[in-house]
Amino acid sequence: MSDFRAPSPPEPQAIAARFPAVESAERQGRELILRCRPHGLRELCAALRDEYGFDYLADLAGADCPELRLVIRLYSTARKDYARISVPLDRADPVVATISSLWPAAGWQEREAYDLFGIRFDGHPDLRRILLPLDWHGYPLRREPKAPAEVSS
Amino acid sequence: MTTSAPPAIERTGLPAEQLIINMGPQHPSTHGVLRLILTLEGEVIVGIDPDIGYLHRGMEKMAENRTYAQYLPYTDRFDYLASLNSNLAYCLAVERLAGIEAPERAQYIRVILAELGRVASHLIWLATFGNDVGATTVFLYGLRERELVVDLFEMALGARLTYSGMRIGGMPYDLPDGFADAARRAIAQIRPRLDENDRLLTGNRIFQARTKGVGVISREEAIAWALSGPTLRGSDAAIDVRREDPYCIYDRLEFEVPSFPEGDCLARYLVRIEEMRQSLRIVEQCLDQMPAGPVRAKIPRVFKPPAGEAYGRTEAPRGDLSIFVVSDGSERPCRLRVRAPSFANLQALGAMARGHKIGDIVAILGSIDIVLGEIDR
Repeated sequence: MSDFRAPSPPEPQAIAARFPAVESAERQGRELILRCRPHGLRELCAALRDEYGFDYLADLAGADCPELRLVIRLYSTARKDYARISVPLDRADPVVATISSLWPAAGWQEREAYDLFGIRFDGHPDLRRILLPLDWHGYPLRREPKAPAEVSS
Repeated sequence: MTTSAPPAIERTGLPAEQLIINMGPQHPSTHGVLRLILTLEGEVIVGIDPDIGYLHRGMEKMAENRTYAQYLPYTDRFDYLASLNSNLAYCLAVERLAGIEAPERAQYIRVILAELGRVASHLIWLATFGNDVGATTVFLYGLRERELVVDLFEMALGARLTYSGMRIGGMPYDLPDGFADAARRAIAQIRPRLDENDRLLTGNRIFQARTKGVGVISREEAIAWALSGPTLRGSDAAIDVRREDPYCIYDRLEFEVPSFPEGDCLARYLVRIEEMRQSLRIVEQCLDQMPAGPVRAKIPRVFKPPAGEAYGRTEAPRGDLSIFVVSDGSERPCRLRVRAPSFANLQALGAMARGHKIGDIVAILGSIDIVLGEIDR
């Protein structure tokens, strides 16, 4: 720990130029706001953790209003700033690589996003429902007409 | 004496098989309805699979069908032992979304209530944690002290558990006459009793044997598991949202962020004990500094925040309570997400308990201080 120094905060333009999957990048106060396509998410997160000092996974959750997306919030405990990544997903097949190998904290958060939004995390070691009963059908926080079968059987 | 690695699983050479047993959901030490599926080798824990969701009420879903004002009472039910702190996180998120700022006096009142909420919550934790590790007397003392704080809440807000004590844009009303004096009197009573409990428990040999070196988690692991609150600060990380990303008027107040390096149950205990003292100090400063003035910003009767999204991040008694709100410009939240500290903290239970004896589960779980209401939502 003694020789550790906080990496400098990433420039939005530099991030956008380096990662082709990043569609937009801007800075709002102490938060870096990124939009990233799902296939490049893992590489982006690995770089943010290892090179830019975002060591703390502050939050990970789905959202559906009106586009289905995954929202990840990272925090740098050394520099005390944030990165918020929105990952737009394909409603018919919402799948993205897991980041639970980077942060073990993502394990349950990803299970919850799967449970409530049906987002599948490729490579997740244990992708089961977490809040709802295991035999539940459907994903209750999706904003789409509900199939009548969305009840516990 | 070093207290780092958990005791290694002893191999005796005798044939051994793993045993899977069920703990809860009605076990009294699970502080709610939590089921733990334990994998054991003899008495030693090799794996824990917490089964949560028994208290799932669809709180995030319900937000889609309530106006912003209507949703406030639901936030009481996230962490029902510190509902004012949940009110605060929700109000901050919505205010940030709408670009409103609560008047200065309201911010002081909010901090007073949030810090008293932390004391009340930590006292319940002290009571139940003492009970978990066999110190039954502390259970009664913790609740006795909490009563003094709850009386203050009753005076200010008219309720004793689910307060709905804040509003978007400030406070529903000002503090009643005589509140400052009553609060000072209560603090003067609580402070020596905290020291008394400290003397009763901290140096106790049985208590130390149950907590020292038990459930150790290192700083690096704690950050990787996104722990927060006293559970993180017991692992040599003085990380506190009130200091790192100040909200309300915390940047004007003097307080310490206690942290202990051991990362065990005792360290987490010591953090909370010291935090209560710091919270009382904060309340006193607020009572001294509080200006006169309005307590609620003007907000329209039909409240429609502009389309956008915002995070409200606060330091609740159990850690980082963040609420993420997305607005589509209507009078109801389009998405409301609750990042509950207990959810992330409970996830690391397996990492803390592996290699310990089955009896230590109760102490480790107690030291994390979970509330199932905010885990299951």
